[in-house]
Amino acid sequence: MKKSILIIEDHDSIRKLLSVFLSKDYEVVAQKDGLEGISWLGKGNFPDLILLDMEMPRLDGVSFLKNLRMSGFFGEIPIVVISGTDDERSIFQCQQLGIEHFFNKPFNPLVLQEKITNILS
Amino acid sequence: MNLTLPKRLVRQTSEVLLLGFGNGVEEFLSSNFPPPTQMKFWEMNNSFSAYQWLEERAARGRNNLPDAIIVNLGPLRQENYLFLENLKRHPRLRLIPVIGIAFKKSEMPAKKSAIQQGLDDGYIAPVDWRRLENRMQFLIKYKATTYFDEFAQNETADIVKIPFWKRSFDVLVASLAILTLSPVFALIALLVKLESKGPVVYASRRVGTGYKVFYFLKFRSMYQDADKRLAELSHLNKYNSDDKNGALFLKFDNDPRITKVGKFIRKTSLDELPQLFNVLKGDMSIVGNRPLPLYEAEQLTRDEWARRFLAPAGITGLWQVAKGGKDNMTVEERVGLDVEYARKGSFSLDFQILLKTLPAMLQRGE
Repeated sequence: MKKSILIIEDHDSIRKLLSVFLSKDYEVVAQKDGLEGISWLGKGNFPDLILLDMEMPRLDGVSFLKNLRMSGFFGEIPIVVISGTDDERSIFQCQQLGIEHFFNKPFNPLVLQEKITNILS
Repeated sequence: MNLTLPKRLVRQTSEVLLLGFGNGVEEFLSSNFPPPTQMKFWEMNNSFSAYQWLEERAARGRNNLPDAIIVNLGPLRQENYLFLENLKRHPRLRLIPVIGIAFKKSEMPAKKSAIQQGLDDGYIAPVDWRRLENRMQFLIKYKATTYFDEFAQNETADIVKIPFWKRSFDVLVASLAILTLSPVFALIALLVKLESKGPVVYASRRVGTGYKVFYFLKFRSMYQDADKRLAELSHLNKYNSDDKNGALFLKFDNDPRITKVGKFIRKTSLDELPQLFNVLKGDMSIVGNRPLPLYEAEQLTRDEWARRFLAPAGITGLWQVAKGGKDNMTVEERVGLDVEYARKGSFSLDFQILLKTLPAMLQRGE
């Protein structure tokens, strides 16, 4: 069975690109911001990995991450961040909360694919 | 979705109903951080009377309800699941966050079924209070507002589907062109082969629609070891400037790596002819965004540019036929045209681009 990935990204172009690019190898679901992501998970969906953007309306990446890591059910899901900015504060915050990798846009989708393969194997 | 919170949720004190714990919160919290004293805990042990109590309070208005419910998944297991089932059916009570606590791993149901049974989250004791409280506060804030959310499960399917008319046109034109131009193909192949050692066709990895990597075909216009010499020549790069996007694209004015035949077929764009086979194969279309080398493509995965990859890849496109010649455009202008094509792509736009392609090629050849 294909492993599943949840993409949380507010920009249409990147979200769709990631969805199309990854859907060859994975079951992909995409949501438009952190709150949608949390809400979708809350319905009982457990993806094998989450790709997370940082700057988003309603619930940003760091708040999403914070919340998820507090959860007993969802706290262990591996997360890869793809951020529009690489300010040290948010990198540090993410690492404190536990992420697998921090990508900065522009990113190389082929490297991302390789990272995901490694994490999920 | 409206995120304005009911007043009551913003207040300082929270009320939490504990169901099935003989010793209150002490029973499942790790001792390091006790809950603040302004927190009110209602302790109940019988799930039937707990439900009755909640129902009565719900009837008196939502301000009388606890903010969250914490349920012991251990000893009273069966009874408590019935309690959860009843909560789920109640129009108001189902919006209260419910957290389950198990004392052994074996008491915790599989996560997915736990959620279906009505739990929003679950922990194995002992639990750190700060962790529990953080999660609880979040659920209190958002459960009611997100409860009715519905989700489109899959938006990927249609994103980069090439329309039927476009694919038919591609197959038709590409096959006709290959047939009629076969003498030209043969002649160029012969010339390339005669002038220098190496294969007739040069295949390089390029990024197409949906960031799909494929082998992009051209008649070879360079000497065989050209790629190795690229690094040595980077100081001649036309785009090499202080501009931060400058190094994205590599172009040389008078490139010593190019053969004589190569210079001619490049000038006339005849080197692109083998891409008709890429079109037949389905890697790309006649009209679309230029497939990019890997090192160029990976620079464009930014919020404002990534859209270019959602359009079909093509032999000719907006920037090839742009006024003023494609060679004098900045990177931003070129990618801008790609994004424009991704936005507007249509039959009539494709047709216009095709009409302008031949004049643009001739102009370039001069």
